[in-house]
Amino acid sequence: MSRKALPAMRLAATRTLVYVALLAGWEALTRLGVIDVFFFPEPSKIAKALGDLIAKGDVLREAWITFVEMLVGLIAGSTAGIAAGLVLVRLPALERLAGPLVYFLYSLPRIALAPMFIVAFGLGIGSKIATVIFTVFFVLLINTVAGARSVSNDYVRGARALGATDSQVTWMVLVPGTLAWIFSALRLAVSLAFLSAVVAEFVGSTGGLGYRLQIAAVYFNTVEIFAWLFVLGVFAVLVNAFVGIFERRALRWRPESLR
Amino acid sequence: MSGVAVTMRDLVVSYRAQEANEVPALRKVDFSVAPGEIVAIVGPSGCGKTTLLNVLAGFVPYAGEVVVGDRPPGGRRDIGYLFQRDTLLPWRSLLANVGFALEIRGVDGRRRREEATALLERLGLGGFADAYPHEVSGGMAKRVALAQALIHAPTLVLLDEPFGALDAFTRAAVEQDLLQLIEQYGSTALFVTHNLQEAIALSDRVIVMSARPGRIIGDHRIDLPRPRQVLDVQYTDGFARLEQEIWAELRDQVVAR
Repeated sequence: MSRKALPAMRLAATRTLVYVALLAGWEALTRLGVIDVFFFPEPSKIAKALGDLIAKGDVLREAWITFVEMLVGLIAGSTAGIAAGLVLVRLPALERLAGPLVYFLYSLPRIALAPMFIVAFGLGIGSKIATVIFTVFFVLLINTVAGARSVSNDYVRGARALGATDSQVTWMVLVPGTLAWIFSALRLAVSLAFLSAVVAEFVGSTGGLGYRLQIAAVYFNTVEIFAWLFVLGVFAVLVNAFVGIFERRALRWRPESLR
Repeated sequence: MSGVAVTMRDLVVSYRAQEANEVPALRKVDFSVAPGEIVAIVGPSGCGKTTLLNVLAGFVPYAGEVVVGDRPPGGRRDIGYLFQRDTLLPWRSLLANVGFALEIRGVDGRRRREEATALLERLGLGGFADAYPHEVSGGMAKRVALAQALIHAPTLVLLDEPFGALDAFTRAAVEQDLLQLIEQYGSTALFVTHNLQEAIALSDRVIVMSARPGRIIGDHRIDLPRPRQVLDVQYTDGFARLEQEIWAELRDQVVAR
């Protein structure tokens, strides 16, 4: 065993202990009647409800719906946002024209359009995907434009001096130089996509994590609310971890301090 | 491959500082460079030296007649331009940076790697192929920039005070590498510098430009033998006399009037 492994294990042990103690404290306080179990139900009951939901296959089914909405919206919205950003970078006249509109739409609390998308596209996943696309698109667009501006003009001149064509400048200089910005935008976009998928499900839907959370709330079933919240948390942590791995690989060239 | 001839006749370049307010940068520049000639251009700062290079690279609109080889500048792929500031792409390894010009030309990956590796090794950077620009010293980065600008054996090499930030020894070493490469390729080279000794040590001709708007006020042939050792050449016969001669012309332009 390496020397590093020991403190790491000690940390893991300490953490587990603290979390278990917190849960036990919560459980004890509910049993003693100090905490109102309507608002903060016993962890043991939440765990049992969660176990039942998993056993019935509900968790996987609902998580899958939310995941699809999020992923499809994220891919479509980001691709479109990056592409639109690159177009605006290449056409400064268009950027001056579209600038105020883009800024207006970017500044909107875009999730507020979810009801409109549900009116337009119905209760199914289509309206959720539309909401996600709309929230994500502008984040990528704005960051792509800012990123491309941050690419030093020296790099562009250097590439041109070596004989690069316009499209080579775009793909070999602007895009890779903008990737760091695009990645931080994507990070933000992933959280936003998750948020907007769940909120759009609140507004009106027939399935998904947000839908089940909403139903549980309508029936004042706080045990199930907590169970679904836990599922949402795990879901988000997994997604973020995945993004993190991807990001570290893509940005290996950067000095540590700028990553 | 060999160098390309360059001719400029009545070259005028102006910058539009504000609407309807043109600031002349170059005024009636007339000179030509023979194929394979290495020409240094010295002059006070702001005299349009860099503008001259940018005209030849096709970056700047101009009036007058400019011929590179057999046509006007711009749209060429046989130019190597080494800038004052580095153009190494920070997200590319040194190897990928050196191979950049070949990639632009659609050379396949394997040959690109071979050629870039060979050039890096020749410049003493064989062990750093996979390093990123931020991980190497200024002198090493400058060598890589040199390799990046010259890997495609350009027929015209433009150098815009590339070595200003280097210490004297590193500078001489990188200059030596530069000389060897362009002598081997037979490239024509135009070299802008503030440094008179550097100008004389590297070139066949030194051109002196006036303060803005720049025009040519002196043209000196440097008859020192080649191949040259950059570090030694300044102690050879005739070096000091050339330096004095050119300085006498430059002095009036540099010292505030």
